[in-house]
Amino acid sequence: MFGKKGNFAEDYNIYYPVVFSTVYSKTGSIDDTEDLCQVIFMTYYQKIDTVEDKKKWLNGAIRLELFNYFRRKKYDQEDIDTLLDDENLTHINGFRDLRIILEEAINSREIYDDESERVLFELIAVKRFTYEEAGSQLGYSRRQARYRYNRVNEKIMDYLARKGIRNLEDLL
Amino acid sequence: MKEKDPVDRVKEALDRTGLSLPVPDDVKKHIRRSKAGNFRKVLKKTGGYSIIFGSISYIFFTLKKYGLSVTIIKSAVIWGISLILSVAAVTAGIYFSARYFIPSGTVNRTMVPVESGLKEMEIPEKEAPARRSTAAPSSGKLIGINTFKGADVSREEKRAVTDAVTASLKQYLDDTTGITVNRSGSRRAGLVLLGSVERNNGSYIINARLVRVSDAKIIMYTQEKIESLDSIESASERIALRIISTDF
Repeated sequence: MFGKKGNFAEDYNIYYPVVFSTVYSKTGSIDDTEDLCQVIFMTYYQKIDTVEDKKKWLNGAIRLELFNYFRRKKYDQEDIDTLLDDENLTHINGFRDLRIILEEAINSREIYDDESERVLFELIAVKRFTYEEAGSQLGYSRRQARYRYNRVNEKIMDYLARKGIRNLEDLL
Repeated sequence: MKEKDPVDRVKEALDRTGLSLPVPDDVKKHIRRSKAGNFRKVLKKTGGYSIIFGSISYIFFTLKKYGLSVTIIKSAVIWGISLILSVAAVTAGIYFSARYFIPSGTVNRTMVPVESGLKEMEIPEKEAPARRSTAAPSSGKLIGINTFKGADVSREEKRAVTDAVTASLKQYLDDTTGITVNRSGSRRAGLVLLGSVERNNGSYIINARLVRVSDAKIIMYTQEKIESLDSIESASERIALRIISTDF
């Protein structure tokens, strides 16, 4: 019915909280984050018909806009690289392998029914939104958000079990 | 010791491995508040904004905020229904306000504009007496009579019918009534008699309507059916009687 605009509204609703919080974690400024998010989503709107993997495309756009942002702020190239690279990769408290397996699990397509569920998990488990806060972003009631989140967790535990990790606590 | 459920273990694992990235509460609140507004800004800057889509997206984001799972299509349907209900409510409001402020007598009268090509209005004969008045017409009136229009009749037949009605009307109008008849349809006439003659299966149908010029309202309508023009005089008299018994 609304074609491009309709698809954009649906995608924007799902990805906006994740994009905003990711950008904010790097800039630390709400105003700058808002400006960067607008640029990212304006570009996304213009290219929406050609984007295949939305999450991947948005991650690339976030990285590019942050790079330009820090360049404008006169940061050294080395500092920018450090800021943009996941600093936790160099500081993982000896859980390198577990981290790799966990990342693989939470990025696995088989875990989620749809993108909305993936974002719900990311908001609750990674960004630490409450069920209610995450649900209000995606159109779930608190109960629905909790149910879906728990179901994803069970799938992650199954995934890890298939990799030979039967008890996550043993590794922590 | 109570075993932790899977939810806690995954979160704990994400924390330990540095994969969690908690968002401060004020930022969460800002995301919630700014989401719809920034969406509109993005669409305006890319030229994709319209008032209709802006309204629909407002419904979409608002319902999502309250945990309702709607699509943009469903939001459009809700918007459409809301619009119809709003228009109906406003229309009803205007209608009832008008009824309240305008006297009922004025509202109930039907105004019928008179045009040369206007189709004859069918008024049942039984309703006609209700409009008649036995009281003498008010004085100072000039009735203009236009030549009757015709269908399947000759110019002479139309003129004959018009003349007969005019003669009958003049016969009933004298100085005491204060009503005069002008055959040419004078511009000074306050009332105009318009009519038509139709040929139908050998018989004639004569329609006549008296129109008040000031508001173009039809104040009298009558119809006569005669088998031949030989009966035109009696038919004209009946028409004239109905005209003069009309309360002007």
